[in-house]
Parts: sequence; structure tokens; C-alpha cells
Amino acid sequence: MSSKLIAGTVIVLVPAFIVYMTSESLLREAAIAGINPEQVNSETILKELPSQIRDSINYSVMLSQFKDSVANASTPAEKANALCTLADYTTDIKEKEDLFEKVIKKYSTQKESANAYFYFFNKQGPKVVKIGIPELQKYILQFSFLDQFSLWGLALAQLKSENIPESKQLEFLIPLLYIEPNFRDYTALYEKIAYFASRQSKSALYDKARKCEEKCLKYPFIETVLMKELIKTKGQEK
Amino acid sequence: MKSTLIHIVLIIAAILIGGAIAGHMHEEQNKQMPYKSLENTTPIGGFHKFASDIDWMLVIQYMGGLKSVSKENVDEVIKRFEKIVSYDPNFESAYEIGAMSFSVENPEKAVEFLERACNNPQLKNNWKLPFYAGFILTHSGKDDPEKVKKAIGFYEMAIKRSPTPEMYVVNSYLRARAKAMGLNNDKLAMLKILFGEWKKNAGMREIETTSIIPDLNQKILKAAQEARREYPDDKELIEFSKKVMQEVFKDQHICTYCLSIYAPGDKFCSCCGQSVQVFGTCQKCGTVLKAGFCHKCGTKAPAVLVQAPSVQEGMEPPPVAKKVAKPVPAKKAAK
Repeated sequence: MSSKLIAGTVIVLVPAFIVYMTSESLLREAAIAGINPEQVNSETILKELPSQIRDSINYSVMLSQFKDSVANASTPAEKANALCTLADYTTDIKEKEDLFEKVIKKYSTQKESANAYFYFFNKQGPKVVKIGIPELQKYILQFSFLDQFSLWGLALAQLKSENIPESKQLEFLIPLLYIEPNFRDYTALYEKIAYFASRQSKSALYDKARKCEEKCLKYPFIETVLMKELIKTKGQEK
Repeated sequence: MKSTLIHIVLIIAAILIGGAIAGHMHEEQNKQMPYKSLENTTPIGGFHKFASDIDWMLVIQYMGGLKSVSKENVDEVIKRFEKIVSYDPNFESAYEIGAMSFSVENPEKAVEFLERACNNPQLKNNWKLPFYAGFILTHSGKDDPEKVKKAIGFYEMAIKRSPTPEMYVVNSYLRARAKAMGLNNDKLAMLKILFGEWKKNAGMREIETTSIIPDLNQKILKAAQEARREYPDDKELIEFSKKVMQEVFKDQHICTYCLSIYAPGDKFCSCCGQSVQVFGTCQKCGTVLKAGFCHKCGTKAPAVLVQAPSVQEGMEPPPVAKKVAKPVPAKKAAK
């Protein structure tokens, strides 16, 4: 190829390229200039997108927000809560199980770790962490009676939803007979024990559950105690 | 010879594959329909329901020929009903009628028969099955506390299964619980149970009542009245019923003698004739008050009569209306 031909090609192509880029930028700017930034934001753009893409973007956004909250959490309770929320949200089973395992290993003394315990509780198939009835009982019993109540209830609901036999459900609730919770709400759990004991012809357990139930009737409801505390705090604030 | 061998191999292979598929399908079927596992495994080509219907008709014929179910024939009756439910584990009438027919001669077997039906997830909405089981237990072992305690579970199950439990089911449950308490005074035991039920829900009325016993307050009043009538000298019962009345009916006026509710202005109880503490009348003229002021003399009613019922523990009191200044007459204003 002669040098004249190369020079001619460069002289034509380079200016043409520059002209193309300049005109493209002018056109784009002109197109965007008419957009009102107050009306067009990420939400309006998301609304216009097909549902599949929108869901995947939402999922990524939420996931990154939950990851941020894990990074920002400072106290062990906050960490446990943030990790459990992230693990609950993620659809990646491997990541979920790793996160819950981390929560159980690191924050087993936090009540916020309950979701991790419930996830592995009575889980069939290959398990990363084995949480059976004794492990869950031990975890719940370390908290105050105020916090314990909801945990007992949630665990019992899970056992029921998984159609676990009543004998196992009774076995799970047995430690309640050896504690003296100072809230009336526990009567519901003792009533459940009495029911299971009655169905399984365990007369001694039935009697004990009814005695515990009677004892609990002397105490106030959790709701009442919390309400009193709230009124007290409001009064102090004023 | 060679083709015969091939045929034999093919037959064996077909049997093995067929067996494996049948086993897998049976497992899958049990997952979809758990009650199928309770079914008889006799290979009758899936005609189990048909077989149970035929047996049911035969039982009707057989029972029609009996004077009563006695020691001589009870085993045969049980065997026949067992056969029906083994073909169709969801046959509710077979359980109900069968258990009741041999409950007198063999109550243990009747309870076991009904318990099997109670545990069948397909019959989880049938409240009669647990009720019958409880009924047989309480009536066959009146003095056996173990049986009574077992009956409580069945009665409770029956109440929970029924959207609007029948009165006799609720009363059977309460009576069994009172019996299981082991107190000498059955009326006191009943009152204690009802009061316990009330206390369980007393603070939660704002949210939802969780008691399985309907019309609890009325039942408490009736139980207290009956107890007072039957045991007028029992000091423990009198003290306890007083405590119950004070807590449960603190907003109502009740005759201290017969525990009947009386109306405003009543000087004597309309049930027992005893004098009662008068309430709801004008302090000046004695007329029964209808609102904040006496409609005859215009005297203002005491605040207690006008105010809303007492505030529940832990709840914020209702806002108190501010005092509005009386309008000044025009003449006074001019002065």
C-alpha cells in the first residue's frame, strides 16, 4: 500500500470518527436535557421494567442493604439480628446455611439468634449444624422468662407444622415443669402440656402441669408488665 | 428352548420392574394420602371402599339378628367392625356406631377403636369421635382418676374441633376437669376451674379471648349460685365465691346472698327477697337515674354512675372532658 493511500485514509477516517463522537454526545445530551430529575428516579425506572428484571434488581438492592447492615452492626445482638435477616432473605441455600451456622457458633447467647436455631431445628437430610430438642431447650432456657415465652411458642408451632408426634412435643415442653415463670401467659403452655399428658395417659405429668398453671395465674400478663413499663418511661420523659 | 429362556428372563425382569414401580408408587401414595397406610393390604385391586360397604351391610344384618351385644358376641362384633375400618379407615359411621355398640362390654377396646379414628388426619374435623371416647372413659371408670384425666384430653380435642361446641361437650369437659382435681366439694372444684379459665383471659380481652369455653361469665355465675345453694355452710366455698364475684363481676351489682344480678333502684333481691344495697338512684328524690341528671328533679348524678366502667389494669385512662365555663347571662354581662 502506498504512503499516499494510508495518509488519505487517516485524513478521512480520523475526522469522521471525531465528528461521529461529537454528534453522538450532542444528541444524547439533547435527549436527556428534557428529563425532569424529580419525576424520573430509580423507582419510576424500575416500574417500567418487566417484573422478572425488577424482582432481580430489587433482590440485589435488598441483599446489599442487608449486607450493609451486617457491616454496620456493632453489638453482638445487632450482629446476630442482621445476619439472621440476611440469611432469611438470601435464596442461596449454601450462603444461608453458612450464615446461620456462623450465628449459632458466634452468637448462641443472643435471643436474636433464634431464627438460626429454628432453621436447623429438626431439619431432615444432610445438616451443617444439628439442632435437636435438647439443644433448642438449652438455648431457650438461658433467657429471661419474658423472652422465653415467645421462643417456646414459636418452637412448638414449628413442631406442630411439621406434624411431629405429640409425644415429642410433650418431651420438648417438659423443662417448663421445672421452672417457675412469673407471667400468666405461660398458662397456655402448661395447658398444652396437660393436654398432651392427658392424651398419652401420663397422669403425674398432667397433675404437675395443672399445678404449674395454677401458680402462673397469680402473676400478671407480659402485655400488662410491658404496658406499665411504657407508661413509666413516658412519665419519666415528661 | 432359547426363546423359552428369553421369555422366562423377560417375565422375571417384568416382575422385578413392576414390583419396584409398585413399591415406589405405594410410597408416593402414602405421602399424598397418609390414611392409605392405615388400609388393609389385601390385594383386591383398589376395591377397598366397595369391600367395606359390603361388610357394613353384612354387619347391619348381623346386628339386626342380635338381642344385644353381650359377652358371648362382643368379640365377633369387634372383629366385624375392625374389618370394615381396615378396608376404609375413613368410615366415620363405622367408628361411631361400632364403638358405641361394644362400649359397654369392652370399653377399653371401644376407646382404642375411637382413638385410632381421632389420630386419622382425614377425620380431624369430626368432634364426635373424641367426645365418644371421652364419654366412654368417664362412664366406664368413674372412680379411676387415670381414666378421667385421659378423658379430659378427648373432650378438649372435641371442643377444639367443633366451631361451635355443644353445651354437653363443654359441660362434660368441665365436669371431668373438676373430677380430676380430686376435691371433696365438686362445686368448688368446678368454680375453681371456671375462675382459672377466666383469669387466663382476663387481661387479654382487648385482643382476643382464647378460652375454649363459651359464655364463661354466665357459667361462673351459675356455678357460684349452684355451689352456694348446695353447700350454704362451706366456709371455703363462700370465701372463694366472694373472691370470684369481686373479680369477675366487679362492674355489676350482685346480691350477696343468692348471687343474682339486681337492677338499679332495687331494694330487695327479686330472686331471694334479701335486702340489697341500692344503687343508681337520685340522692335527692330517690328516682331511678337514666343519665347524668335526674329526669324528675334535675339533680346531677354522682360521677360513678355517669363514668365509663373502671379502667383495666395497665391501660391508659380515657381522656377526661374539660370543664366548660357556664355561659354568663346577658344582664350580668352588661353589669
